[in-house]
Amino acid sequence: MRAILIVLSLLLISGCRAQPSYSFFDEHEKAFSTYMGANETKAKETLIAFLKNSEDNWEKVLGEKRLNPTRVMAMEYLHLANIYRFEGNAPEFDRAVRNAIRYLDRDPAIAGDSQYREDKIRAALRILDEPEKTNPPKWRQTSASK
Amino acid sequence: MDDARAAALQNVSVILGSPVTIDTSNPEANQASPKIGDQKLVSAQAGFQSWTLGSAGQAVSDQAALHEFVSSADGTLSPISFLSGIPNPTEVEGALDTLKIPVDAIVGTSNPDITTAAANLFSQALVALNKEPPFMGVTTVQTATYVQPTTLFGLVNWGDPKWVNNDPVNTSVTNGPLPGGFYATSSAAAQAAAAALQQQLANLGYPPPPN
Repeated sequence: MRAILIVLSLLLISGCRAQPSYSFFDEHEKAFSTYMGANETKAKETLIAFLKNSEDNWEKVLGEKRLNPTRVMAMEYLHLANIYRFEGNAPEFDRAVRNAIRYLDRDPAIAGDSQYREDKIRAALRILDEPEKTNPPKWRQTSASK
Repeated sequence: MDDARAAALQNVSVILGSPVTIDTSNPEANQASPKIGDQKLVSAQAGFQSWTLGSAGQAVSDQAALHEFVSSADGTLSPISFLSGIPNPTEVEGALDTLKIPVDAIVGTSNPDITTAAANLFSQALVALNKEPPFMGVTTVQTATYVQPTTLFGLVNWGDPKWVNNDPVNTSVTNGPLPGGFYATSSAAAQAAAAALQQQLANLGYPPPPN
């Protein structure tokens, strides 16, 4: 009887720990909050992990009805590009902006916009830069004050 | 909102991203004694939400296709795009704590129903992610229809006539300066939504409050 109880307990414990539930919504909230925080390195790592996890769990991402995944992915690639631009890493900046544009191309509201069709890179960077003129992430404010 | 101010909404049509079009060609509904079929305004609200909230657009639906889609993004951008655009963070906008502009500020009323009735429609906006730019304006208009309850397959009148809420009408306001008509700040989106709602309500016969 005791052996059965031990086995059942172990099964229960392993079941609880086996598969942490993935939530695109929660992961995005964490990524965005970290991006807006004071630690640029942590922001970059969190964004890279978020983007990879999202693409690895894409079917689950599409099941999250509270968010528009196309826009989320475009925005977080732009945020990643912003960090690479800040670091002076042009090749990675290029790659991140290209990825963002590929997502923006799939957003009807953006893809149909005349200023976007005219110059996608400029339009994508406006989406990134205009809001940050008034509300930049803390890591950029910290760096600017040094 | 008192009955005398209750206006009719004969027909409401909404085009996303365009000015709201409202047909108020039902003057009889402005009467104090409503008739069956009359409609009135119950509540109205303006606010903003992050563009990232909401359902999927044309997302890549297959995981394998997604990986191909992302990994094929290569090539080099012009040096100009890399060097330009880092804004100088001289001004930091204060956090906008009020997610919604109560309709009181727009039409000068104080009925608490107006500020609470459509709150559930903005539930998505009440999360931390709502602070992620860019933004769009959002308005919600709730109307009610004066109906005669019936039974037996609609053939027999049953009880007194009463007001029954219609489905709320939500409008996205995307006339902003960013691509797609979005706004750089939540306050700009909220102001645009407030202006759109004020126009919407003016068309219904609700004048703006005196300055």
